[in-house]
Amino acid sequence: MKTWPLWIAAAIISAFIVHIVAVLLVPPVVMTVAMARMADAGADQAIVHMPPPTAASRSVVRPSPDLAYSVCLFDLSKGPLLVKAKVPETYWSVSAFAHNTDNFFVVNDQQITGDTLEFIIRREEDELAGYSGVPVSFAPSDRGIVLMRMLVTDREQYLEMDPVRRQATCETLSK
Amino acid sequence: MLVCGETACIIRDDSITASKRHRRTMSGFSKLLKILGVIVFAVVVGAGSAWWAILGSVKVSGVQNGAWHTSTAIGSTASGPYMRAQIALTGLLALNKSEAIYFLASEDDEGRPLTGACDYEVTGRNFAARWWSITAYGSDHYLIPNDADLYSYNVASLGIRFAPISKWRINVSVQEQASNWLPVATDDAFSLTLRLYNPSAQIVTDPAAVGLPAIKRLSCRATTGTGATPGLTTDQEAAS
Repeated sequence: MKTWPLWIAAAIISAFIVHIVAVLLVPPVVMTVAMARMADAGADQAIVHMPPPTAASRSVVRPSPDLAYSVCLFDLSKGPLLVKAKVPETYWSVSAFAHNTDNFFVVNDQQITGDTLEFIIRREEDELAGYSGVPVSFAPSDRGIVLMRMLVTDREQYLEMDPVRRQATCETLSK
Repeated sequence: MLVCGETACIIRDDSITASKRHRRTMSGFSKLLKILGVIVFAVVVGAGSAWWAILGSVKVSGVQNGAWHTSTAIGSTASGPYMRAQIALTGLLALNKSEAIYFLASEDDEGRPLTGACDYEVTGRNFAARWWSITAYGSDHYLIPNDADLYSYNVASLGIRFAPISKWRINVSVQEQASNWLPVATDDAFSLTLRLYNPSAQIVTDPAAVGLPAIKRLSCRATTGTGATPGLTTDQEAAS
């Protein structure tokens, strides 16, 4: 019996499986590498404030040199994350990304009433007492990234606004 | 005879056994080769087609506007697996369209790949957005090292923040330019990202209709490979 057709079919099916697995694995693998680099900078323990990126900045591809980034990592298996920030008087946004790269939360300075932002990222199934009234965003994955972007128009403005953004905190709450 | 016969029988038996063993060995070797072939084919074709599909996903499913392309699905939970993978590789942590729209150009207006071997002028007008910027990236998708630490231009640095109908021009080149110089790396491919933060509703709903910057190739440096000083040629000279 000729077995070539079976071998060819096996090759095509295997290639299809490799194709699907590669496509599905790219986002979490890239995200894991980026999160590991951020963790090395201490973003898994507290919020890390970075100056506007330069050619030496290699943690995330295609960074904007007009923005000063602040970043913290969350791991909801340890508990919900409470984010607090003072809003600078420039373009400023807070966004949250799931482990598959989905941007599941974003708010900017013009959408915030007052000069402070406070919100919680948590899993839908987790109970949390004592924070009623604090806005909640439900994360689609346990692990992810909170990223703050502050527009930097010039050095003077950066020196003025940098202390404001540095008041931001990320705190893991006990369940 | 009997002995001979026995000897002959023994010899004949050994010959048959050896032949069978040889056939089995060859059959096993052939099967091993086929398995190896299947694995190599699966990895090369599977991973290669995945890579091609991922990097082509924006062009296939996105919006093309002149030399620029984008997808309004960037960053959103509606992004498909190919778009997600593409963003992970070339624009990790991109915001969704409610906050920002990203246009990317890796070719000039005539469809030729952007390269540090050529000079370009990028021209346009202001955009209906709260803030916008144009940034150059190397083929590795990181900012391009240069002594002037110049990586981008924006609505403020171009001096048109309060002049909505003003024209602007950026000169993209390896060599320093008299004004609005955006440095790139010699002989390396590069790409441009146009970021529009808090774009108008019209841009969000119809990014194909936005008047995006023109990218015109001016001249290219000809390298002879003989140690001669590289010189500039115009497009016409280079084409001739």
